[in-house]
Amino acid sequence: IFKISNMKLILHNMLTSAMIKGVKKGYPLLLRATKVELQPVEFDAGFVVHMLPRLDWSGVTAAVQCLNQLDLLQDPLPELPPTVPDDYANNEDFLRKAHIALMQLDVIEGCLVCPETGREFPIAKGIPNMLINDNEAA
Amino acid sequence: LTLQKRTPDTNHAGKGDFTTVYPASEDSFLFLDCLDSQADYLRQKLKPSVSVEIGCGSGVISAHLVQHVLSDSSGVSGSSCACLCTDLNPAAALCTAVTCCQLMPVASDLAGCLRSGCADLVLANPPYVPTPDDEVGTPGIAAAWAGGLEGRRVIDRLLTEAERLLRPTPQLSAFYLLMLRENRPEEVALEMRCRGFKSMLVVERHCAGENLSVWRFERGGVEESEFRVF
Repeated sequence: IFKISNMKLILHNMLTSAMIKGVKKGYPLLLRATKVELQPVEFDAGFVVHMLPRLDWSGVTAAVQCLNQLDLLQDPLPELPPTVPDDYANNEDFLRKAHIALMQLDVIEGCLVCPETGREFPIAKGIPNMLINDNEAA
Repeated sequence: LTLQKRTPDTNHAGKGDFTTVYPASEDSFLFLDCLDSQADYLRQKLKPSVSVEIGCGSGVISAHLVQHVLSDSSGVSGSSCACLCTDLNPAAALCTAVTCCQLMPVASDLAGCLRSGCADLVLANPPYVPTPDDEVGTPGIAAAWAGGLEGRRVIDRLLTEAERLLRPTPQLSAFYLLMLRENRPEEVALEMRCRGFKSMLVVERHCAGENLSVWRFERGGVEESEFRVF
């Protein structure tokens, strides 16, 4: 049995549709998931602390809100504060919640949607496909 | 003491669902050697949070980075680095997911779908073989090697893409690129210098009739405490 990696919210946080002609920002992409799973990934505080400064936090909270609205999980993802707390490096409660969202949530099927053009990018077998046609390119 | 050279298993590449995916070859292994020789630099100086490999193929290079180079010697994958991988071929993205479940693959033309300034480390083992221009980026496995005129068509696009993806100065960032002698690497190094990167030849080898080298282009690096910008 292969253990395959599925799309994580960290990857979602880095994605943009700005390669499409006319798109100004293309971020964050709307997360229209149809199949998600929570994976039992061991909590790694150091990983979260190292990653946090590199993330656009509003993109993370938007993705979590999107997913909770879709109601695909038995229990909703823990709610995240609108801004990263100043004491984040020592705030285990916050780090654990962030870890669940960033590293334990697998997006397996669905699509990502450009917030400016509505153009959909499929996610299949856990992998987003961001390929566009030549005539769409900037 | 014998230094055991570990290599990620990519036996699934080049067959079945992954017939169009470039299996790990001499050029890939040279890149692994490069990363091994740069282990101290990567772990102690660069300490990347986000790595982007453009044109990941089987995923062997990024798998090696996360499993063997950035992890500690006990083999526990304690790497605090998100390793993103892009490929024009969706089969390669899927193959990469199978090669290593810690990687984050996405199907994309170069890394157009990734936000500017998101990475501290960019890796590329590009299609470097000189071919007719019309073979560049065609569907199927030829895209893995067809480099067009002087093998530079994709490389030249990669220089601009890497520059865009890497964090702006003064943050330290690095771009590792594999090239063939016919690509005129010294000219590429000079071009990168003009763009504000220090150039360094890391490893070089003559493999199966090809003279290959892996270069590191480095930008920024200020000796002060880490910036934390949300």
